Amino acid sequence: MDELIYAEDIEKYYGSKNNLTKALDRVTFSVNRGEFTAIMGASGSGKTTLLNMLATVDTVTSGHIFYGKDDITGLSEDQKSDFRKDNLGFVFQDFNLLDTLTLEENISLAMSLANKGKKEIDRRTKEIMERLGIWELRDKFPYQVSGGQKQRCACARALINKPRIIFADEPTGALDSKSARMLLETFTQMNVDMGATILMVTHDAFSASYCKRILFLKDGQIFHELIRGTVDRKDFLNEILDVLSVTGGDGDVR
Amino acid sequence: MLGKLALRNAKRSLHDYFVYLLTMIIITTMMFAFDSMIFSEDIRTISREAGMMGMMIGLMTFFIVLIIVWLVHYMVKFMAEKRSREFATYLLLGFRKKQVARLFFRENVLMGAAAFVIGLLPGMVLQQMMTSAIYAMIQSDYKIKIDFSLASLAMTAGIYAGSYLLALFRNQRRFKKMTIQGMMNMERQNEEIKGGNKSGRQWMFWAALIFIGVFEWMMVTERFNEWNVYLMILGLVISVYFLYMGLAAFLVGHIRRKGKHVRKGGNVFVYRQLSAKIRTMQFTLGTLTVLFMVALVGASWALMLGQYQNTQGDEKFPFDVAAYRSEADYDFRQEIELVEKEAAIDTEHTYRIYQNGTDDWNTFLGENYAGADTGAYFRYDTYMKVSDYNILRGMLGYGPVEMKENEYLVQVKERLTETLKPMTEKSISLGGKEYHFGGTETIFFEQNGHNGADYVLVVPDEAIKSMTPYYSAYMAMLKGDAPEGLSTKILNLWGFDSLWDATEVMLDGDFGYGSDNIYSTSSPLFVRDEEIPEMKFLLTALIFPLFYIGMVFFLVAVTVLSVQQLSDSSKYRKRYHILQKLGMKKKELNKVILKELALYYVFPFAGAVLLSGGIIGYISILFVTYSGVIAPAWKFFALALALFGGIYVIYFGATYVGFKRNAYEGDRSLE
Repeated sequence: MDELIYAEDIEKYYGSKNNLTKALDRVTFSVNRGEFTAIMGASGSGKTTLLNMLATVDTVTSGHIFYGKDDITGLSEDQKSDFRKDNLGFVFQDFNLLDTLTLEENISLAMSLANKGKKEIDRRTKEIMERLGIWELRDKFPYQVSGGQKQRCACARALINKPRIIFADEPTGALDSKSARMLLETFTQMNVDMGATILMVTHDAFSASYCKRILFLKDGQIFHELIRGTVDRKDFLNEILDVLSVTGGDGDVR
Repeated sequence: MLGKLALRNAKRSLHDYFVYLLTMIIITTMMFAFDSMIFSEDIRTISREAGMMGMMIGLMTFFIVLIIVWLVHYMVKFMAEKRSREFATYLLLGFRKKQVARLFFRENVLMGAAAFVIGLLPGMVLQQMMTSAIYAMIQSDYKIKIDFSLASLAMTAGIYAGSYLLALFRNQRRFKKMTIQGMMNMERQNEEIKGGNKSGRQWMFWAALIFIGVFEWMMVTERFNEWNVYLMILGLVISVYFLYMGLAAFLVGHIRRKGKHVRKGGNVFVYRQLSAKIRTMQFTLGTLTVLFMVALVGASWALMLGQYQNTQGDEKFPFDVAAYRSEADYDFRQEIELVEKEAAIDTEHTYRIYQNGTDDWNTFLGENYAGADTGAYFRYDTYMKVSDYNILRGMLGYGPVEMKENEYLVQVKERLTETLKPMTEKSISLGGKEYHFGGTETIFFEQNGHNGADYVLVVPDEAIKSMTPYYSAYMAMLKGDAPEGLSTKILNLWGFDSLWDATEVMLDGDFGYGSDNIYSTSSPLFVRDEEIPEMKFLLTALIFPLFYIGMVFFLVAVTVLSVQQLSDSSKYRKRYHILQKLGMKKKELNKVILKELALYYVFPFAGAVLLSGGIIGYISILFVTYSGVIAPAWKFFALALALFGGIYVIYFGATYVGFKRNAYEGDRSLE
């Protein structure tokens, strides 16, 4: 398969000399194009730290992260901004939509930042919104729509620039089970129909069961990996729960 | 797109920070009105002293710029912190830091510009109101009109934009240092309670209290001099900050000791919130207290001067025309002819003031009255015939005084009667004859150089025979108002163009102008209808700017307080929901909110009231002693307190309503 990200020996320390916390301990792994991957682990296992490093939000203490041939650990602030703009999409637990913009504007903003032409922006925005079923809501403001609709808007925003990868940090953390299921189905749709590569951080086994591959993180180290292969989602969920029960993880089932 | 985003964000901020907007509008209004006064033709033509107004407003503007810079900087920082997650989102979307900073900058400029433009029109109205108030005060007619000068617009805009940009640029620097993660976490960091259980700083609370006590004691016992007073004021300001630093620790100590009331109702919640808040806001609270102090002192002072302005015209200028000539035999014939030609004379009198070659009274007053300076008195003590005195009394509408052959009277400014008492216990010797003290008269008698300086000794006509004529005086009462320019005509007669020249030349030798402190006049000629407006204008030039600065400082302080509370209410919404889940009824929750809010509001204001109360009490006692205004010392402070207290209560009420609305938002059952 086509390798998208290669993380090599990354370490992250927090704190001062006298009180040093090791958040990540020589983590090495890769993500392939078109994968839908979950990083699972208990609170404090380092999963969000890992995501932040991959997303250029946080910097590594040592090690390298390659996107193709490019090492992103050495980029300057402005280079990182441009890198994010051109390559990455984000979906957050609380969506982080801008409340002064309509749904359509929230989505097209990311594209107009990339200095795309007006026609192209309009066309692409419409296409994405239609595919995610929120085109009718284009003139509404975030506070006027439901939580599920906000999520789909956040997903559309993450997709609009055809990013190489979409990062999602606990996207279902604040959702009821119905909305969570809808979001995960949207993710699957994005992954299967649109070929989006998604990397999701979660501590929830149910959410993880939608993925194709799961990395388990404990005390800053990858200690297990599950690949779904051809098993159906229910069986995959059981596999995940088995892993968690062995390690005493705090994954919960909805 | 970015422009649109900036505009939308600015619109939202206008809604969220309405109180701030309102304050900026009011400040613009006042700034424009006062700046216009500097350039106003109407004001410039009103008085010889018009420049004084401009100077005072200029001086106040300096302090006002400082405070606006602080307010804008505070608010911008505050808004940036509240919106840190939003900014992080921009960065994740691929905005560069510079772009985010520029976006925020643009929003703030839009908001500031909106407040400025809205404030201009009421500013014009206020300027007209102030001008007509001044005209009314000095008894002239004024027609309201549209008075818009580009110069004042440019000045106001310049000052406003200058302070705004200064505050914004300071904030831009902060932006540079921030990271996405820092911004994501900032909201949480705000509530982080560092050392939430430390009670070690209690000493600061006591140290501050002790210093404030010393300050007040030094004030009351008059131990301040020009050397220590600035140091002590600096100390006072520092101890205000100390007070809040120590107060948080003191509260924590109280909670940990499980002191009084802690276990009652929702009190532990209120106390904990309060001590956390005071700790994170100690600098702001200290600043607020200092601002309230300045506002209260400024306004009380303005009120004092206002009282002075209303009562002093009669004391200083009881006669319509009062002229002084140093020649002992001047006959005033020309002047009388001139006044008769120009106006209708009701009564008039020409007379002499005498001296005896002694200066006991002048020396005594110079030594014993703190308000007097070296030029206050004549070289010799001043005497007057009782017959002249009675005629002058008659002109003012008083009956004649009776005195025995071997007696003398003292006609003196009322505030000096106590000081002079030791002198009246002695008799005076004139031409070898002893005269005993026969009483004190304190009618308003124009004693700033014409009928003596501060006092004149009234003696039987017989006694005068042995004395030397000192100088000549002429007093007249007119029927109706004095015609315009009367004083100039008399001065021309004397060979002068202006009162300044005349004063300089004619009073160059032996002259005493008395010990008046706040508004002292030293002039050979007074025409009442010209002097009173002049005095009122000059005092107005002090009163208006004092109110100006008091009002601005007060509004800034109350705005910071309100905005802070309102944003906390939505930030800590969860806490109120938890309390409700713990079984607190809506009524009880309202009570908790009211208690919390009241405490936040009480602390800075009560501190300021106590501190400035002491200062004002002291100043107004001095004021009453030296100015001769008869009013209880607490009156001015009480009036200022009533004025600001009223506005304070309005802001408090509005904040309480907004607070409840925010805290209960999203919880229908509580609304």
